Amino acid sequence: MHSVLTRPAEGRVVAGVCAGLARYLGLPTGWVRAGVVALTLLSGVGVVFYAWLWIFVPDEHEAVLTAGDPVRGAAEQVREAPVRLGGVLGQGWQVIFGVVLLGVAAVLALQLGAGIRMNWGLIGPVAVVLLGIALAWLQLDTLRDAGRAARTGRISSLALGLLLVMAGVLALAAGFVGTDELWLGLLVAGVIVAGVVLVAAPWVLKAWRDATAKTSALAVQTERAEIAAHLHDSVLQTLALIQKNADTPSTVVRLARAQERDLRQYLYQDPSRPTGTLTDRLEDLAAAIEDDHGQPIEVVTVGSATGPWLDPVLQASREAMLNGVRHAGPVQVYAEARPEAVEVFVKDRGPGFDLSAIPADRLGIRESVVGRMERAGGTARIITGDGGTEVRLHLPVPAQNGKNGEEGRQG
Amino acid sequence: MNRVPVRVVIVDDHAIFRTGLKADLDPSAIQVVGEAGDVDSAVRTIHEVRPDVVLLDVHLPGGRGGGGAEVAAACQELAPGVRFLAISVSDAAEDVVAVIRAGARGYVTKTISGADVSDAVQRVAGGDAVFSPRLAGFVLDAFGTADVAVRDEELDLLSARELEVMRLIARGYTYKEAARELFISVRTVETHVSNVLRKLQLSNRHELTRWAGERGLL
Repeated sequence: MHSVLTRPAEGRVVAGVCAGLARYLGLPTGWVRAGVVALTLLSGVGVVFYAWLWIFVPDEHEAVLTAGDPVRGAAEQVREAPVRLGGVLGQGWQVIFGVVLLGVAAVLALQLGAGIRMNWGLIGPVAVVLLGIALAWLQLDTLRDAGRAARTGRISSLALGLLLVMAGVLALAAGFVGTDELWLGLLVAGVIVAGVVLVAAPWVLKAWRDATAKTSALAVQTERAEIAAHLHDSVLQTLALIQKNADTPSTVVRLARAQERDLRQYLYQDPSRPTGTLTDRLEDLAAAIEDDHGQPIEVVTVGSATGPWLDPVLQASREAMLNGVRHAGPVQVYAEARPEAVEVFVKDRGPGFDLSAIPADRLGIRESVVGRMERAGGTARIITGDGGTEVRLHLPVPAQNGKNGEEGRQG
Repeated sequence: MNRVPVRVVIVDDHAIFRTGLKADLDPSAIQVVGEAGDVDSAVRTIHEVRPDVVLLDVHLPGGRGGGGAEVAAACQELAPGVRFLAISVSDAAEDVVAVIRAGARGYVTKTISGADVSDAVQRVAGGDAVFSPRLAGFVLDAFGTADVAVRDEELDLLSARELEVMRLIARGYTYKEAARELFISVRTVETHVSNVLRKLQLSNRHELTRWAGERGLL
């Protein structure tokens, strides 16, 4: 059972009246729909009932917006809108078409079967008016959160509905008064409407501006809420953790570093940039190692490259970074993607080590760095001394990838 | 070494950071003669005390919203007596390049150690340029690492030697290590770096705009 009667955004056929009513009453939607259809067939009351609820029962989102928690509601609205609009619009048209056909069939059946003479001058215009009203109302729910292109389409349907209603009313009126008087009446009506528009225009304009201002304020609020949520989830949590771990500097450093990385990504990451590039993957590897070992790794990359052929050089880089943070401390990584090759340099400022003194059974450097690079057709050189150690990896772009590599690279 | 200490003004909008930095600087070599927290007071302070070096944050409130670049630009007539060293947490290339183009002689990150920043300040005071690995990376990206033939001839390009020096700095080499690696003197490395800085400051806007566009910065 739902506490407020609203028309849900999903599961609608026409305007969501039956679905909302079913949800409110806790009945199966099918029963409510069948009931309304039955009422319609019996006496036409169902249509009136439906239209009345359509007017007075708010859309789910309107209800959310007025009932507080505006920020969440607005965000969801934006996200859902594109999915839901297409479906509703299509279904609405189908239903209107079906109702029109049913109506025509019913009238024909009455005329032919029961032999009742129909006053076509009366029924025709009324049907046109009803059709116009349905057409216009159907746009009401979807107009608000549509994109520009969709909105033009809706407004033209709205205008079409309005024209249908006016034509129907005129046709009805033509049945009662003469043509000359009708034209005169039209003229008078036009003048009156023009006057009313003139008087009301500033008010309408002001209301429109207010509504626009409110919408943009809401958007700003939504964005601020999103930022606040992010800061809460990340920064505040980290600060709390840091306070708890104030006694262990290494943990504090690691936490601060991880948070810095996270925040940087949030602030400076361009979401339109392609992912999975050499830069991304190197930074991911470095981040994981930083988290595990608490030593900073600075990654600088120039150019860009993508593709699975980078795997060996990335794995070797990872091994080199691991060695660096384990034995030496902070690590500096530089990667450069050129049209013909990718080069990665991993440098630390540790005490260095004697390369020939590494026992043959230690696989770290020999196998996972040098061996891996050579199997992939590249080279690995390790320069070590008092000033630290540098691992230099060089991997040529594979022949069949040559073109891709060049395209992937951006100066 | 018994030299006259370098007179420094620290410009940063966070008082905590200014205090921390002041405590970190080597007191025998560096004397902090002023501090400022926004663009207007920074310009005023720098004109008043005429420091040798200004440690300049990239992001600053006040002024016309131009941050560190605006301060450096407003103090251009004091050059070369007053030099600027940009110090930032920002990784965004456009921030860094903007302040360098406005006249800063170098760029270091705020996570730099006290010894390193003292060293950088003295280097800048001596007329050299200070490039962090990241700034060297930006420069390589901006000017391109490709051969000269494929690029527009009108652009002021880096020489092969300058590219090599930039690469070594990006790899984390000190000037001394870079000099040893290339079999040249430290003085020559410093000259190369200063030339790169000059080219970065003088390179036409079109080139940097195109670069920024390619990197999706604009």
